[in-house]
Amino acid sequence: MNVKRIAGFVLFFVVLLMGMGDVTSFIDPASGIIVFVGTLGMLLIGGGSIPQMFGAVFSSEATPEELRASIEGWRLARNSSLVAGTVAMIAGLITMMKNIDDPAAIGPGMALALLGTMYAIVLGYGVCLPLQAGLKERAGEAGEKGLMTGATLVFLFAFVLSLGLLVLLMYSFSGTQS
Amino acid sequence: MRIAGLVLIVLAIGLGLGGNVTSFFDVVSAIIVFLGTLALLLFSGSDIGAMFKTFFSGSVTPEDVQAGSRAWMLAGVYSLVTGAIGTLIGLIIMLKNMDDPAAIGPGMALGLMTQFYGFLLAFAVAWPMYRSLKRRMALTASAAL
Repeated sequence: MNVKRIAGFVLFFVVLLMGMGDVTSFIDPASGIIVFVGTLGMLLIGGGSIPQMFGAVFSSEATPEELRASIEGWRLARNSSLVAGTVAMIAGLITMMKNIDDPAAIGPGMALALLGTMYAIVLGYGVCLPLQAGLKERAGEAGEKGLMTGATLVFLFAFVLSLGLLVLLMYSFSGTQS
Repeated sequence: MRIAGLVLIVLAIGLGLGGNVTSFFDVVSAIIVFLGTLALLLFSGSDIGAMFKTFFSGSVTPEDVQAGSRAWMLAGVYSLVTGAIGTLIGLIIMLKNMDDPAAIGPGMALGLMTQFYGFLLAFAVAWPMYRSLKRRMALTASAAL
């Protein structure tokens, strides 16, 4: 861990805050708990050792075995966070459906459902993946094969979601006009 | 040659869009995707110098090629992911303000523009670079045998 990498970490979150504008609409404790605590739980079930994961990141004299265990742990954390994000999204959608009789609540409910997914992508690909990639560089391991597919799937999810909402939006607009 | 390719891509998009080009510049979306990708590359400790060297200069050492291919692969992953995060941010802004029609446009625009930039950066620049460097690594490996 050197100054350049910490600067990158800080810069990434500054960029996100800039894009968000009004930060208060991006804070939801419920989704946060599902994603962060859920990821932790899945990590423990999957056999990841958290002290070991952080230990290899911050100490420069980690043995090859420790490095390998830490790389595996961060990979597990990334996959778990995506699962937790999906769970948070489904939970949010169910909550939304409970209030389906109030049309004004549908938009904010949907936004809450997406918030968990956003937390998960930020945690998985914005924190776990860079940490894992840095460790891999140190261990001299080759890149992961499934990484490109995974990122493409995340992108496709966002793409299909925005297309669907766009169509819904147009449908509702044409409904109000006629 | 790579610079010519980059110019051609930009030219193709510019010509295809015609007079609409100005509506495809969005500062916030560009910051999220380009600066976000750069930030994540820094965070993962990738060799950004090697990335630029392999892109712009013809004479590079095998170490540069190896570090560059690794970094370009990650750059593609990060640009797609920042594009997806930007999309979600835009959609959330839009959905939170459904009762205010004036807020729907900017939110949707942020979502779609980050997608556009992220997709282009990954599939038109970063991953072609990665594959090219990987081929070169395979060639030098077989030449050494």
